[in-house]
Amino acid sequence: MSTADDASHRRFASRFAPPMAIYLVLLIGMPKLISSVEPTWIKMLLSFLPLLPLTWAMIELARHVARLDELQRRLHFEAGGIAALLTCFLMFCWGLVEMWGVTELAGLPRLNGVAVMPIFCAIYVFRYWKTRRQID
Amino acid sequence: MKNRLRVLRAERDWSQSHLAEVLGVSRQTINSIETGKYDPSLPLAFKIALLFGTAIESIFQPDQ
Repeated sequence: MSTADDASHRRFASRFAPPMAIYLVLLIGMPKLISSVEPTWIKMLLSFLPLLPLTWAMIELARHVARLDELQRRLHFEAGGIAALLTCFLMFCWGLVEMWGVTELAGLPRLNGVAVMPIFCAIYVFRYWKTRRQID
Repeated sequence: MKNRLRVLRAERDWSQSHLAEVLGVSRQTINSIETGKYDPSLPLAFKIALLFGTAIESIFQPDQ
């Protein structure tokens, strides 16, 4: 990787890390925070608090991808497309299994919507890394 | 797609990083084009041809 490429990735990491750190802190602290406030409408508002740093992080990611050259942008969009497709497929499959009560019978965990983001990110990162290795 | 980008770059004694900087792309893109793993977009191909002062067809040839 060239010095310019390194600098671009370092700049992105320095802008992406703070909102993700805030997001993780909020995620960990939310149960205690929500249980300590009343009434219910405030609990609901606080539940959406982690969306703020997450939105900030997504904006930084979008800015980073917009600054990339054509090849890099293609790699990111391909990874994102495949991650979206696989995530939808996996969540739908699990949803079917849950709907028919098989997860309860088999002692498997229920997956709620929060699982979408980490599954998507894991597939995205893996696909991007794999394609970059093939091209390098 | 076959191309002569590496040859043209070497004639001018340019590094991949330098060529990437001049064209406004990453060094990885230059490397991928030279190794035939990536075909540039039309605007980038025209930019490359203009930079080397030659026609696109003399730089890029379709695989037979």
